Amino acid sequence: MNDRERTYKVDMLTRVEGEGRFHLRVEGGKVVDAGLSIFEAPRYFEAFLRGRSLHEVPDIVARICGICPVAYQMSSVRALEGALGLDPGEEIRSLRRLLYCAEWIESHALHVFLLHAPDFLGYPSAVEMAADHREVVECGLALKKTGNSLIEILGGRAVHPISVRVGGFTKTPTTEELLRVRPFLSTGLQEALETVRWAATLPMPEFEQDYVFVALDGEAYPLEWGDRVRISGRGTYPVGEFEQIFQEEQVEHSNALQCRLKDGTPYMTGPMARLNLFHEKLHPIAASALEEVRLELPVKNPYRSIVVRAIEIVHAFAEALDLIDRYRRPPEPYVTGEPRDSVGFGATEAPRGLLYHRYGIGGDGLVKDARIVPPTSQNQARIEADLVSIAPQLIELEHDEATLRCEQLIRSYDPCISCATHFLRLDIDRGGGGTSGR
Amino acid sequence: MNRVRVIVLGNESAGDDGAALVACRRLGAGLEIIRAGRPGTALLDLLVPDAATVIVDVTRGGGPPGRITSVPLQDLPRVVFARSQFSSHGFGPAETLRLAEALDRVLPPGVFVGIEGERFETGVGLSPSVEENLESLVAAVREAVVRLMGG
Repeated sequence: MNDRERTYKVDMLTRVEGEGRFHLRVEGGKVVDAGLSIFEAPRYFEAFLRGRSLHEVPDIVARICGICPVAYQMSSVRALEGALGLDPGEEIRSLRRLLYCAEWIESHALHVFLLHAPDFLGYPSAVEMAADHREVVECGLALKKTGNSLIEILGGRAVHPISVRVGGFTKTPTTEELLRVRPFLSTGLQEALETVRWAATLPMPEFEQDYVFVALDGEAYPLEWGDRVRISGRGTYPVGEFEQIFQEEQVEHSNALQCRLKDGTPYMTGPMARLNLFHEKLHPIAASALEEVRLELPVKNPYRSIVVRAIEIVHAFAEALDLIDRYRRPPEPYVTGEPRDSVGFGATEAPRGLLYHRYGIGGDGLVKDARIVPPTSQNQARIEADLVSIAPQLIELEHDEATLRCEQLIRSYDPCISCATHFLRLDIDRGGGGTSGR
Repeated sequence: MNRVRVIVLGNESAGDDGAALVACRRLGAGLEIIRAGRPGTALLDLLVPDAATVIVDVTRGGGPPGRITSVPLQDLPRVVFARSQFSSHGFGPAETLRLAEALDRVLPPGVFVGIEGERFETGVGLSPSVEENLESLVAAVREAVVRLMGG
């Protein structure tokens, strides 16, 4: 490594909800400036929701994301029910957990097979990968289809479910309707176990960090219900204190707010955080898969998140089967309550991590104000820190390989900005007037 | 073919991205219409061999807002818009159909009908140029349905 100044400027191309760019300046082999800039679309939804009926909220927030609409709906009803003082009851909770399992399956399958796997197998996209690894792509599509089918049964529609409402569901499935999808879940579980074995064989770049992990703390493996947030090495806190513990701030180089702990520490939320903090609550079948592939805990290499996601797909299938086998149709599909001047908080675990909602509502049932903090915005600072930390590796690599290493690292977080192929353009100023880039 | 399915894509909370969804409410009864939102690869599950298909969506080709485009489905993977189609996590209709081709999936006969959008910021409501061309979009969809039914 020489002591010339090198500037890596990455303009993000995007075909997704967000845009972002990355720059990294190195002098004398040390990073002197780095920034990850991301546009955060959900922030506009907070203003958009003001003045709307609280009953419109689940339907509106579902449209923040087409891959994880259930997550936005679940966090929203959790917060709104808190504001109303409503408890939907065990049967509704079980149905919501089942719906969330379905979303984890379809979201994680999309990411593992179609978005992240091409990085590990050396392809620019799933389309090119499909020609040589059709079985990999077809497996991912089949698992995703199973997840979408279950969402459709429970949510009334595979994308942007329509049956979720404050207090429960507009309509609950019959036992027969759920049993019809059971064989597909059973097959999917076996394919998911094979996915863990396959993911564990993928070549992994070497890179580890000492992360602060954040995940929802409840009775079961973090998913649809929990009243506390666990922060590794720092304890647990009520969800209602989220805005006192975590700080969102504007940074000069980004349109998006970055979220850190109050002392400025960046943190990671998502599958690695959940597994590292709560692996003892995994479904026994998923725990067995974890043991079989000998994934060392805590997982500190973000590239290994593809294995962690595969384990969570197993967990989701196994839990879904159990939930269907125990299913009792609720006597009423939803419970109701009278609106009052109040504030409610809710957090659930989206596929990408902790998703926090807060709503102030009036006695007229209209939303007065809203706060939505998606997992992607919480991970931004940690992604930026990772890219700074990996910089010494980049400098030693050829331009194309350095670009891929960055993209693969960012895709390890499964952020909403990572879906586009070649979303990073890395310009390297090698000094002497020459610049290479693509 | 006497069965035609109309798949409508878009997001009504993102400006002109809701145009196809708004327009297709005017199609009336008697058609199999699936309001699919932004389904990504799930679009593949909606393409069935025994149903000719019209996919209706908003385009971002850089052309004049409100312009109507009609492309045979099998040609859509090779149509290059100035900016990529809207997608949920990277798989808009063109990318998804490219994936289907790579997997040797048999696509149904059909047509893609699009309207060029102008504004896509969060919020409900269409830009004037798109709003005033919605009837043209509806007419183009009806014409596609009639042609696919052999009329």
